[in-house]
Amino acid sequence: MASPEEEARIRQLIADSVEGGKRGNAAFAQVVTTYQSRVRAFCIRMVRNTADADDLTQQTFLKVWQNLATFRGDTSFIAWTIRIARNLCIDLLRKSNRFIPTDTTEPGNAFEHVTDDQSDYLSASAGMSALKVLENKETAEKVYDALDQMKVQQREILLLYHHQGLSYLEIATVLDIPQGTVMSRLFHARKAMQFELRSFYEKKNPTSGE
Amino acid sequence: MLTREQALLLDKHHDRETRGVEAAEARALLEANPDAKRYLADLEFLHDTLALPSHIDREGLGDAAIHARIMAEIEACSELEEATSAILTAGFRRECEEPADPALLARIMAGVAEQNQQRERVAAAATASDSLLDRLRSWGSGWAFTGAVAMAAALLAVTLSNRLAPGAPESAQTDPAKTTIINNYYVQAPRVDSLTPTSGFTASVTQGSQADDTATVIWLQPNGTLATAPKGSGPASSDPTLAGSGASPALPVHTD
Repeated sequence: MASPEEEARIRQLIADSVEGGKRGNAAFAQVVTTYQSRVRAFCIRMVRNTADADDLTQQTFLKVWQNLATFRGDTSFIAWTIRIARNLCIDLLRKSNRFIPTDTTEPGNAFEHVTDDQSDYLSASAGMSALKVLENKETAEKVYDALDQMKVQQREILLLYHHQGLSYLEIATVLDIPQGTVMSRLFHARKAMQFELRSFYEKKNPTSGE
Repeated sequence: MLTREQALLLDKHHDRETRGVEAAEARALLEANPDAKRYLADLEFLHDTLALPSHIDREGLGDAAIHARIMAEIEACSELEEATSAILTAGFRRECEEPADPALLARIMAGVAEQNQQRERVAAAATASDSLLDRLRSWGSGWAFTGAVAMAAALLAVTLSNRLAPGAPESAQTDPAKTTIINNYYVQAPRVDSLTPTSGFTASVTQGSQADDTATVIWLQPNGTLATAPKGSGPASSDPTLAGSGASPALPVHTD
């Protein structure tokens, strides 16, 4: 979630953008710059195609621009934006009948170039056992493969929580579902991910007892 | 949304305490109301999966202590799941923190500029539309259409704003007997290829940048009134084509 200062900065940029003119365009460009990577990464993970993701990112921000004056601020701006992106992704998946994963080669493994710093972050986050897992990039690839194979509903809940760092309340707003359902879906999505990975993990760690 | 009575009924149903008419009501509610299904799913999750005490109902979700308990239950997962979560979070975070792509930013801002121009053109077109429609009517009456030929030949597809767009092909705008399809958007390189008035019309337009923004098509009917086709849609990467039979005011318009 964005800090209060960051959220205030964005709101000011939005207010400037709504005013229009050159100053408004410049302010909106800053908004886009701030959130472009997040939105694009979300779209990539949703549709698993970088070209489509670029188009969806563009469409998302154009819709944001068109509707900027209607942003009421009762949720965070990124949650509002991601909701637009998510709906566009779902539309595309419906149109192209891509609910069933067919392409697991894109967008590739985000851990292809994991740095030492990032490994440190990962190990600190997950503890020693996690470090064992993370020492092997194959595991990371497996995670992403599993993510790509998941149903859209499960994939998106993991993306919204882990990828976008949205709160339960924000996710509930994005998906238009109760918070309890958010927790339920997240729980089941993680279980599904865990199930996908269990046999892989057991093969790698036959004495782990998992 | 569920009423409190409906929620209580579902609570009872979940606890298998409904009988007879009440059970039938609960089943009917679940059948008819998606919110009821979600509510039941929440109950199952809270009580069956997380084994929370039965007195904790949905309303209790607002309670911070209960929320914390649910969070703890969810987070208290195996080492593997922790690792999975860490992988997802860290990997995703890295993706999200990549610097913005200047080319994509340029694309987006070009689209914004285009939309700004579009708004200005629409505003200008609104003031000019009356005179344009008058001209259309005069063209139709001048051609003295009859019967089916008149029906087809009277097809005129026009967009209002593009007439005002700099660079639009002049011949397409001013020669109604030749081609009168003009695209509403995609103003950077507007192009009109063909019009076949005997069986309808087909017009291709240059590739645009917005999937949702397609031409508004207006044409003259034999009785002199104007009809408007519904908006079409298509992927931005395709070469959008407008096509239709023209015999009906509900002329389909496709752009892919």
